[in-house]
Amino acid sequence: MAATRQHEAKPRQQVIAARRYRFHAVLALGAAAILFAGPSLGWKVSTIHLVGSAALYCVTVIGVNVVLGFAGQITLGPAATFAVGAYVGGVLSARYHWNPFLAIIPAVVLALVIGLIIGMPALRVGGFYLAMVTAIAALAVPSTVANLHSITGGSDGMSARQLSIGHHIISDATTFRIIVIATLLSAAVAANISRSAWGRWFRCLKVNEAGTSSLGVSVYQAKVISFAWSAAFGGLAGALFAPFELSIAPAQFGFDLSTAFFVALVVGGLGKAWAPVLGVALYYIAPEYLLPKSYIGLKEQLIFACLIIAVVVLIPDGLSATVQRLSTAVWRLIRGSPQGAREALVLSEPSVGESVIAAQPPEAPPIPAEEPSDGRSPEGRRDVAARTRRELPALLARAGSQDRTRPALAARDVVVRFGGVVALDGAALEVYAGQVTALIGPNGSGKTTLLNVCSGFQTPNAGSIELAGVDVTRTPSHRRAAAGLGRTFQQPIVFTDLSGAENVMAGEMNNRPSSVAAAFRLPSSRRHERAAAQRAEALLGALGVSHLVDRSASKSSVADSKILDLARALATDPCVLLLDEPAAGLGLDEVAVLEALVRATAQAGVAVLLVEHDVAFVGRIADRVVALERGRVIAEGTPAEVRSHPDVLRSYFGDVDLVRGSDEAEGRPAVAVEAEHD
Amino acid sequence: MVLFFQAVVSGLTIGAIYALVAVGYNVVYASTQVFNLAQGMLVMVGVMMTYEFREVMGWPTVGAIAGAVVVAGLINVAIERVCVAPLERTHGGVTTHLALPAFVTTLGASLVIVDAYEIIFGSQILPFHQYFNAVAFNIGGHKGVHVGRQQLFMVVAALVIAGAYHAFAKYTRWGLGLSAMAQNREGAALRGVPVAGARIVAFLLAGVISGLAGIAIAPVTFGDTTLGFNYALKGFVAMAIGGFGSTTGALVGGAVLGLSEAMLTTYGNDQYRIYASLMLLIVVFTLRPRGILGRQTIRTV
Repeated sequence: MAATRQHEAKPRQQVIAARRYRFHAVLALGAAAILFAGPSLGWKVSTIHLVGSAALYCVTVIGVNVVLGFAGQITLGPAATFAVGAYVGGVLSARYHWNPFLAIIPAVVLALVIGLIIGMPALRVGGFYLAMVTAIAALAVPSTVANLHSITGGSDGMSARQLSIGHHIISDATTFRIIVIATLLSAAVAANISRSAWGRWFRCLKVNEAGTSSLGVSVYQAKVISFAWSAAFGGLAGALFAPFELSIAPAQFGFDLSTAFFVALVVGGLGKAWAPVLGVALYYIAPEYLLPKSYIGLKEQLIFACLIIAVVVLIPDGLSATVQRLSTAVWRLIRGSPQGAREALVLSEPSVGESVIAAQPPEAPPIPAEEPSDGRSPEGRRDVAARTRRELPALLARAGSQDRTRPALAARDVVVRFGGVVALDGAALEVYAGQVTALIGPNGSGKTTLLNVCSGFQTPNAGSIELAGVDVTRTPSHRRAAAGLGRTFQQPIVFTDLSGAENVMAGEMNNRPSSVAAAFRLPSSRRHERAAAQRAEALLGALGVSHLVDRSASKSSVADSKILDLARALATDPCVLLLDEPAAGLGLDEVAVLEALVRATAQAGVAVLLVEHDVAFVGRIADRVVALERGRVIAEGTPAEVRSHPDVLRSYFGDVDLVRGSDEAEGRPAVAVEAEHD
Repeated sequence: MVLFFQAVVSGLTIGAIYALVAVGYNVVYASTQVFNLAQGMLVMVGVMMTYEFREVMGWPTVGAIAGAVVVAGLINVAIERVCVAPLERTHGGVTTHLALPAFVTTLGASLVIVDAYEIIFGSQILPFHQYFNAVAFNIGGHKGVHVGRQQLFMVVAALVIAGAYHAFAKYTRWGLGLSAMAQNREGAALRGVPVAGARIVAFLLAGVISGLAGIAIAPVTFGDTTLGFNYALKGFVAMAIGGFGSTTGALVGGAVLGLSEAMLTTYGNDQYRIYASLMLLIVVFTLRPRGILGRQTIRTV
């Protein structure tokens, strides 16, 4: 890390992030100040109650945003944790005479514990399972409350105690102000998480779980942490709800409350900082003033149900992104740029959790002409390559110090069967530090399966995988990644709502902070942020794409996305790097750039293993080539040796003699295979 | 002991309906990777429309049933057209990326259906005339276990419908085309499966199955707008504990859930019913995450 310490100036990414954060903080403080003054401005009691409970709903929705908006885990259970918080707080203060402030602590803790007991088994499975289990919990909690009627007053409900200090009872207006402060703090905590390492990992989880574990992050752990935060927010909101509303009953926490929280967030905009506020304001406050009284209730719910469909279908990034687009457009119009204003209004690419490349055909246009990257011309490319070779070794400390005499990664006699199909039948390979090893073979020969066995996404039926001489066959993928096994995927993982630097920072694993440190911006988290930002900028600089640092990744081309993906894999400081079809979908110029980057990565000491169809590319880049056919290694050696190996020729062309000898003179590929479709 | 066997009988009958909802989920999921939460609502649609046609408009039972099935099927097709098909454009063409937005829109559709029905029918329980009046038989004499014709009808209906779907999926060109879509959408399209049309068929089929489930259960539950979410969740539980994507799994899961609920309510009280789902899910996810009969997923990348 000595090299990065030379940069005294704050990394650009951090300056920008801090500026953005300050802007939103000022907005939030302004909004809170208005609410804070509300009771003194003569608001009616009913208004105070409406806004106060909306603020508490908002706190719950902030929690939903962490688990659903950031991490993409669907939960329908926030009403359950909200109810647990309300009843634990309410019962402890009203029946057991706890101080209501003190009762908040066990309320949050119990909401967290119950949330985890229900959520953890479902999080193991993933998908919709969490949604349905939490939905059932949302039904079970009110019915449990009704059953325990000696303590909770059953379905008739109970009265809770107002907040107090000693014998001094705190007024409604003050309680309201406390709620406003709690909402502001919750929003700050969520915003801190969002901009921290955990926020990036949550987003990664939403886009690609395999990709997350390839960074060295346990997918399960990350899911549980995001869920735990949402449960805690729900518990806190409930604990304040009881002393504010004063009477609570199971009917208040029914299933419709859970769906309401969900709808509010989706309409507000998944993952957006202002979504909870906008969503809740629209759901709870707007109808009071906008809809005729006869509409309150069913018709209102019907309107919202239609709205949720309309929003997801028509404006997938929700209301807050729309507000943002509108305000940007107005701002640009004021500054005299109608063209820019129009651009701001155009709906950006899909944002509900997918990589940018998914929306584009593989032959999407390369980097736009007005933005030439420095690698386009042959001379420029040489300069970039020289810079990459110069700067990369300092950024890859682990790779540089590894033992080059024994294989950094070895697969031995790997057998994988899918039902009756034998995908790998005793395949073996060794990858050495400082070398590029290429894995080639026809479609269905088991290349990707072997890569998946190496990185731990596929358990072999027999055989073993060794990483730096240590058997890792039974080690989960994220532990292998942490031990120095990086990888990229056929579809690069790009977080479209983050900048290039932030994309790369997701790979920084040194001194990772706890999520609590991240939520409260403790020194350990700040140190991590700074180091990650510095390294990300240094990496992007070394790879010749400094222009991506503060550009939104949603605007990057296929080539830039691939380089971002590579940069993030390098940010994990890998000893071994697996690249799954790195050249697929790239133009010739772009392949040349990539080639230089991969060579430099190997020269920095990384053991590179790549799967590739482009045999010309393999011939130029690889030190060693391993050819697979039907799950077996049929040839191994230098590119020239493998290319002329009779078994390889037969496997690509059948028993044809014509091919032999017609190739190398022109430097054209002897074998060209079209891309696989998986 | 009679109490116990009586619980077994009522558990299996209710479980049969849960299984049908689970089959409905499977039909859509298998061909589109979309989890159509509104499946449970269509059970309610089946009940309410049969009520409307038979009890209010006085149609003959068979006509009312046919009408209700048509309505349920068409509503599900409308859901596909409005809530799922447009997502391909806005969320990119990759099937797995539709999962989250489609979950949200079908939840929205569920809320639309529930609210609309509550506006139309009100929230009171609507009485329903039995399809059959006599007791079918008593096992073990007069004081023995009572099995109603209605109960037999529910179990037989579930088995027939599930069996018919299974045969359709395994042995007909259309059924195989639908399963091919689940494996590899682009591949299926290239081999001539009309992907968009097939999805409409899948939704229609699932709507019909859930509608039939509603019709089978109507004389037991009566008409009630809370039925929808209840069956949406229970059908999911049946599918999850039985195993995603398997018809047999759906039947087993439905039976296990129905029996657990019947035991809890027979020996505890009706408030405990919901714990059956919760406990089963937690236990199954912990011990066999892919369900009792579920297969482990093969490829993650």
